[in-house]
Amino acid sequence: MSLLGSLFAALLILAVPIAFALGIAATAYLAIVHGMALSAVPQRIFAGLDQFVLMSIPFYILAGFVMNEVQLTQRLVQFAEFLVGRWKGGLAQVTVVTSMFFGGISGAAAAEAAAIGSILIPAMTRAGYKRDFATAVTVCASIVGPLIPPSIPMLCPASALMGPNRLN
Amino acid sequence: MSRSLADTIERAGAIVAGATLGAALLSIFAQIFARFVLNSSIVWSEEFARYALVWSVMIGAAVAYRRGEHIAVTSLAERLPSVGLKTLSVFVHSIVAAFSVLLLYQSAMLTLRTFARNQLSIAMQIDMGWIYLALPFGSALLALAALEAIFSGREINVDLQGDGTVE
Repeated sequence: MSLLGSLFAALLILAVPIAFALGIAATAYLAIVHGMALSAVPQRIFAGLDQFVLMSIPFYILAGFVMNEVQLTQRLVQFAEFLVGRWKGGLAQVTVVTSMFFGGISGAAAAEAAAIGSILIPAMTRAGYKRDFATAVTVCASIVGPLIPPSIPMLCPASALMGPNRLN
Repeated sequence: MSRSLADTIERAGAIVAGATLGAALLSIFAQIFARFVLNSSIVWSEEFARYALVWSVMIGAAVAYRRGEHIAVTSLAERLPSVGLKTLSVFVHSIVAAFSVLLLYQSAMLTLRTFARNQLSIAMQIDMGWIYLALPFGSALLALAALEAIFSGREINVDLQGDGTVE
């Protein structure tokens, strides 16, 4: 186990892409410690990829893009502005509230940060907020998306932990 | 490998990966329409979407690698002097190339074994070998991308914003 952890950590620090760090560490661990045949590597990769629920990741991000393109995000921003915009730190509050509404529809934190950030971070910097602050508010608020179902982190671990799915 | 050829492969890969993902999306839309409007489900749509995703991911991984878009922890790399960054880049690309070649060999064997068994997919009745073929195909592209990065001296991407600002 220590080989798995330390190799993974070492590869991560050395800027190896995370996907490869995971794959290499797991392969080395299974091959060296358990003497597993390497032919299992492509089989496990395929089994990990061959999941219907993984489709939710690209399509939630697609949903975020579509919401942006059809001006839905702007409408959410206007609505949030109407609710909390007049208070102190209004635009930051608007960011948090918009994230919540967005999160109820979309389920990907990254898509949410990209969609809302592209509108509200420029607006906040124009209004005199620091860029660091504007970014931090957007990123923190975007986490609320996965917390409100439906969302990727609710679907994927659930399907990974589900017993019968292992039989696939 | 000449630069323009590699560029062409990258562009073709991006188009194919996007098209397969789009096909998966369409098949799921078609399934929703058939199930809830026509009241008769399409048998093959779920399976088609899953296998399209496998192909899309394996090709997309190689395209993303060439564009330096894979997520990595770059806090150490950012602090290195330019010589160190060059060395580290060669190291990272070599590790990725080695793993891709290993994956290429193992998955090619797996694909050949699957073709030999004539195993058919449950709903679409196509040979499973065609689906497993995504792995050797994708890992071959990945190995090419990593080797090209080594020989062209491309550095790993420490600025994912792409606008050159590190605040």
